[in-house]
Amino acid sequence: MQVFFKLFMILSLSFSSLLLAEQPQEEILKEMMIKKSDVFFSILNNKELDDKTRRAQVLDEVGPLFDFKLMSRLALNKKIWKSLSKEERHEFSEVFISRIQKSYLSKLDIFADVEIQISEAVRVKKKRIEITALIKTKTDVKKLVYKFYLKKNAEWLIYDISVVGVSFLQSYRAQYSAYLKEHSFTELLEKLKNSDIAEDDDKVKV
Amino acid sequence: MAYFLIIVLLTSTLFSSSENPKKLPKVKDTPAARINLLLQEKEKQEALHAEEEEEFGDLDEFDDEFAEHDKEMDEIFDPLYPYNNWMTGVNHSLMLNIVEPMSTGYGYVVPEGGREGINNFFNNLYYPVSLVNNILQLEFVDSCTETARFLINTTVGLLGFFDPASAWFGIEPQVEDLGQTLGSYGVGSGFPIVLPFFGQKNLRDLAGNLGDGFVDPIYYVENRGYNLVGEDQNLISIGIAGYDNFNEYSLTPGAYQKLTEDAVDLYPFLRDAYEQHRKQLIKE
Repeated sequence: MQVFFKLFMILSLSFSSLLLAEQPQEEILKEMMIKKSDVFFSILNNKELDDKTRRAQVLDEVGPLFDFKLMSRLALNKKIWKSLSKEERHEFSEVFISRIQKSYLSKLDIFADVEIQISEAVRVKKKRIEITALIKTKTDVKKLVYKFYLKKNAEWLIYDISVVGVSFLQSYRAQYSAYLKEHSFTELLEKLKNSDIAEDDDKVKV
Repeated sequence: MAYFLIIVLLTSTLFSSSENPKKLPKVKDTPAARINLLLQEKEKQEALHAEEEEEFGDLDEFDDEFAEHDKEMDEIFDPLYPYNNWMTGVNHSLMLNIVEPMSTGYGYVVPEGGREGINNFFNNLYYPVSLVNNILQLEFVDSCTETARFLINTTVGLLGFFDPASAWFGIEPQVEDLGQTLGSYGVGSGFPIVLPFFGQKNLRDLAGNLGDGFVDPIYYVENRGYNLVGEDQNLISIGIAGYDNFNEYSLTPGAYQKLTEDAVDLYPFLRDAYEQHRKQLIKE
């Protein structure tokens, strides 16, 4: 009887410790995003940094959260992507990644007067988590959603962002798809390479 | 004679090119060879796809996430496309060359606090529209929230120039309009229309805006019999609505330029962003 009692105790203790130890992944990601947000604002508000250093530090800190390569794949719909050769896919990815990084860094000053509050983390599918942040401006509150997916190497990375319901990737897909109806893929590449993104001419790390 | 010379030249070119061994295709153009080439191409594609799936997981699952909206935008009924495209260009020039510099100048004249107050005032004035639409959507809790906000901001917030409802009591706005109400009852967006200065709309939201005009206090600045655009008194109201938009824009200077600089093609970009945004508002 004592043996059974001991066995029961050991089993129940090990189960309870397992339950206590395993924090839901969405909560872990939420905490990580809160920390990243603090670091982001500390870089942004550091008056000692010049613009170039500030942008580089932001990219170093925030860049690893994103799967830029997957974003470039998803910026084109399946039909278009499949029509491209390996070289074309590679070239598009390089151009697209460089462009969205530049675009993001050129918009940093938008965050200068806002407050970001990471409000909610929801596991929408087994391999998808959405983290909602509220951007509080002086006049209103806007909702921003970071969409994470579980990569094969067990790493959670952002593959899309939606602001006030407008998904970045969905927007790129609609634009590129409409453009490619009347133009060639080479023309799209040229357009992406040549159109200016204001203010920032510095080469960014790809 | 000239025709004869052209024919001779063409035939000689044809013969010379067909006789040149370098120009001959390396693979015989037979049905079997074509099938072989297609199979090779398919194998290459499959290998590439497998390589990508190895890295990212199930790519079809990602594509499915965007497929519905892709299809909608791909098949969008846009009979006014030439006009909309042109008007978007006009509005773009207007924004960059007139509104942007004017809002910078306005920002110097009216301090930020004043512009925030004016924005709060107009937001507070929108209460009847929001209330009616919350009720029409059977959102009774949100109707009460909007009423509480209106009462607090009109009294404690000095006629709505301040927003203590949000700042002190944490009561956030639940703004609704008739376009959202119609959308929530399943009315489709209809075709896109770009208005001068006011920008991107669709048929449902434009009809909604006209309907909202009946309960929007800014359309009652002067006595009127009915609500048709073009009536003198309504032009004053439209001017006020324009000023409201302009004042709000001055609080985020440069935002329009930053937003649109990524666009490969401006009109499809704004049309898509507008539809996505409205869809989200209706869903909420």
